[in-house]
Amino acid sequence: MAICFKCGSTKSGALVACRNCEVAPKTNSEYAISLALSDHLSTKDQLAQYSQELRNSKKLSVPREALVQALDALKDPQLLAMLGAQPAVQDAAHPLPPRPPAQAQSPSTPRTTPSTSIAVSGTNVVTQGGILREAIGIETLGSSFTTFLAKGSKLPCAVSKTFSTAEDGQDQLSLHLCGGDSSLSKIIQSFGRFQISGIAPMPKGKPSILVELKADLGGITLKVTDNLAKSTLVIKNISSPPKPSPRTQINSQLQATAVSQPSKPAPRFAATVLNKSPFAVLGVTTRDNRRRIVELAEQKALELDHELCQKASSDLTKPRSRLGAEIGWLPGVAPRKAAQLADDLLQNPMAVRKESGLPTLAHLNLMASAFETVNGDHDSEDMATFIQEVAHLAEELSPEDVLRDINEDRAVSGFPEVKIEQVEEELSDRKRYYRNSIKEALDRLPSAKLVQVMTETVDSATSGGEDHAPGLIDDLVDSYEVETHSPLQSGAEKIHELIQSAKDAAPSGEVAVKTYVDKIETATRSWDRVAQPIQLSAKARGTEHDLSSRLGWAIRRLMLDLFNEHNILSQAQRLTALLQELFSEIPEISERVDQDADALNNIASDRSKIAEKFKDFSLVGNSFSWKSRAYDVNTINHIGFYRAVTTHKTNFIETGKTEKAILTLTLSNGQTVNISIDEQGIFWRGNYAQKIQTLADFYGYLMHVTFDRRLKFYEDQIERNGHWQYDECYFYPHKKVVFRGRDFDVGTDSFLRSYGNIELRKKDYGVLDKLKREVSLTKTPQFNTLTDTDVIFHMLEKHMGLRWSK
Amino acid sequence: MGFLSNLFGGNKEDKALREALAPIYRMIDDEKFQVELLDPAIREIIESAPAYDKDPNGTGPFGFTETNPIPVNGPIGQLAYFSKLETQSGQRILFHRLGAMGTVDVFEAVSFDGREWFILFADLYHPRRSRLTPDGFHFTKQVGQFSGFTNFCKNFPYDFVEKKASMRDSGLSVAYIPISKVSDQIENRVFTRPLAHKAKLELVKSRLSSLQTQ
Repeated sequence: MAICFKCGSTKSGALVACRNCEVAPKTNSEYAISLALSDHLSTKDQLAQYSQELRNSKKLSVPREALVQALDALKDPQLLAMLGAQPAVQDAAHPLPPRPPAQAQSPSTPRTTPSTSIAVSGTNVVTQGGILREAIGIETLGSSFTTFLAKGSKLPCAVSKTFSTAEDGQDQLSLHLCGGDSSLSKIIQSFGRFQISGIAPMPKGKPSILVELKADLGGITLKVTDNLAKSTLVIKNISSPPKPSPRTQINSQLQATAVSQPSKPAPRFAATVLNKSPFAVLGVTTRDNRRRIVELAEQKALELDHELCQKASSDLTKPRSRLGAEIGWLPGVAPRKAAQLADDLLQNPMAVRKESGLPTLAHLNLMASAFETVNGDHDSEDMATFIQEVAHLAEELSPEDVLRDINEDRAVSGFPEVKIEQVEEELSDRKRYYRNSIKEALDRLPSAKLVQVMTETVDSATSGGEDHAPGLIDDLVDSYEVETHSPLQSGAEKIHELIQSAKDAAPSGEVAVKTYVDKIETATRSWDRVAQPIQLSAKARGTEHDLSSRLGWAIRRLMLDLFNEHNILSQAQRLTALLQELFSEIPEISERVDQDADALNNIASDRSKIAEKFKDFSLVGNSFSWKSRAYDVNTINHIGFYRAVTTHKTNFIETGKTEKAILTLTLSNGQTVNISIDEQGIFWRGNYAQKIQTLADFYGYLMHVTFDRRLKFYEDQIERNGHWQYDECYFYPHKKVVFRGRDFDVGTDSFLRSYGNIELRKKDYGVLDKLKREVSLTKTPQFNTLTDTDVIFHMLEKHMGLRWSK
Repeated sequence: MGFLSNLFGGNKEDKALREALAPIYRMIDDEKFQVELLDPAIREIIESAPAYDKDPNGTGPFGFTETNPIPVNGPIGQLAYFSKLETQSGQRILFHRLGAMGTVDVFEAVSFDGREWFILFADLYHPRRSRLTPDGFHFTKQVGQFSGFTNFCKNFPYDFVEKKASMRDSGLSVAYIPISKVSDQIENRVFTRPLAHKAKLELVKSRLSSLQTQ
């Protein structure tokens, strides 16, 4: 008979798990106290007393001699070995052990590395004809069934698979062996859950655990070999032998054996910082006085490292270090509750998050310790929530409350009271510790998950960058920014290079640019994922993330360049959309880009309308086609347009009118394209007037979009030659126009405008000149204005000061 | 020195008696004979198993853990093997079977003088017994008359006399040590399990796959 050291219930053996609270002793001190709480070392009356003490949360009155005896017994090597691996197999009761599998024991099957095997009875899945009546396999993710040995397999048959551990240094795996339906991936019956222990320390992911399942007429054997360490792995059945499914008929003495896919064992978590507190090490409460601390330290030194106990005792009795120990423990929590909470950390660390009614500091300490158990498999959403829980709780930390809790306990323990300044200083360190605990937990996550958790945390804590985050999260983001600065900077530099490449490619047209815009988009999205938490935090704090800001503006400049300089609207729109999506956390960029987007959308809309209007020319972007040939607007050097109405008469009586319009385009390669609409032409049908008007509008559109290019043609001549040439004239800015060697001064001579030309007249133009003009066979001094009309009148006004009223 | 010891170990003069008791000698020492006495079904299994002194894949201290059990030839082989063990201090052991962990039998043993207690593990599915001994033991030079049982003794070892008597039906009782070997100790109640051993018993019993109650 024994008493559970945890709950005080009666149990069958000192070192076995309690049926009431299901807690089994795990540490040397727990073994010792458990032995002391058994009829091996205590009388029945004593056990009853201990039970009462435990149930009433009173101090146990176990005599020290009993503990010493227990500790002495725990030096037995065989007992220690049993407490360590605890290998065992549960089986149906039988006076003789079940027959070992002949195949596994056969000397003809040499085994060069250590292994062990295990048999499970009560599961008959083998027909008398030596056929597996159902598949044997393991439970895998999602409680589905994965086949190892297929249904209908003829015996003997075998399968082996090599597994790796999921964590560095993982020393055990658990397997669930099942019979199942392969086609439905459904488990039909459980053969038991098995723990494989004794795996030598190795890095995670190294395939070295060979699991073999063999079946023959003598039974089925599971063998587990550590190929890497050459060490034997012990298999332990960790579940009750299953009852056979009604669907499974048992009709022979054959036994099935178990194997299953390795998975992580149900853990008992490693001691956290809180469990290593001097209070926890010595089992001292915050209300114990100096003498009691020393006593307990001496007692603990019998089972634990002497120096460790000495240091713990020193930390708790020296005023300078005691406050740090108190702040790091569970101030304000009743001693028994504190011990229970510390132990809960070892059983189910995340449960401390649900604790209510705890003093803020104590709760924070527990949660920070729970962070130590977070590993790479932890759900990212939950991790983000957990961080926020701690961060918000840290905001509530009150030095006054902590001071009160500590001094209340000190009043009992006899240690001198502390002052608020001392507490504040310690709490400042404590907050750093919380941040580091979270940061270390984050560092254990895969990189992508780390970024995801940070983003979710900051996004939620700041309501998308709108609210201030708790200080702990700001601190966390600052650390994150420091650590990501280098990769972000390097990534930004690469994107800047792509931006430059896009600019360089822009003169070659949209196709060339698109390749770079594709790359810019991909790279920027990846980059922004990492920068997102920093951007959100900066927005919430009213600042800007410098790298993001610079990159955002650079992309906007590219967008403007593509549109303004190269008229590449669609790629400009892509970049604008990208900026809107990824840089919305930078208010200034966001605002400007929204305006850009509106403008570009309007332009796109206009272009769409224009395309519809000029559908006869298949206008798409900068291209149009005429008579099945495509032309680029950007290659137009000169534009001429001629429109005339011909009145037809018979015997001086008007019989009708026909209209004609010709649009003449001179391209950069010297080619001339004439787009002609004539009521007698063959290309137009239907409403000719409408068609001609469409051509006139098209002319207007082309004038508009090519104005700068055509203007440049003449401006360049001025810059190069000091004048420009047009038709047969040479124009010298603000001086004169030379026609066939005759100078016409812009200040004194006349320039008469009529449809399609401008006539040049000297200032002393008289009657004789008029007569000559009418009879002369020589050309009247003039130049036509049908080509590049808009540009020429602009030049005449700008450089010659000539303008005419409309 | 008991009757059989005198017969097999010392007095060589009474050949007639010796010949008459040859089957007992075979029962104690002849491995093949020990196997022949078994049920044919079990015998077939045992004879097809490998013969070795130690499981080449075994781990842990030999004989002290279920992962490295002592290979023996069936239940009678178990009796023969354990009965030949002697501690460093020259004490033979009394033993009984607690149960099994899978294919491995678990035995509790105590030295004749009651000073040393053991938990030992044996695998009976082998055609011969091991020539090795667990650490802290050697084989006795005496005739290895049986000093234990392959079933559970509720009041071990104080019920040795009754248990031995119950073996008459099996025909094995004649191969046991004389009561005088342990009667003084039983009378003086020298057999008290130490705390560590009690703890081990608890643990072992909690893990047995087959538990004998008688």
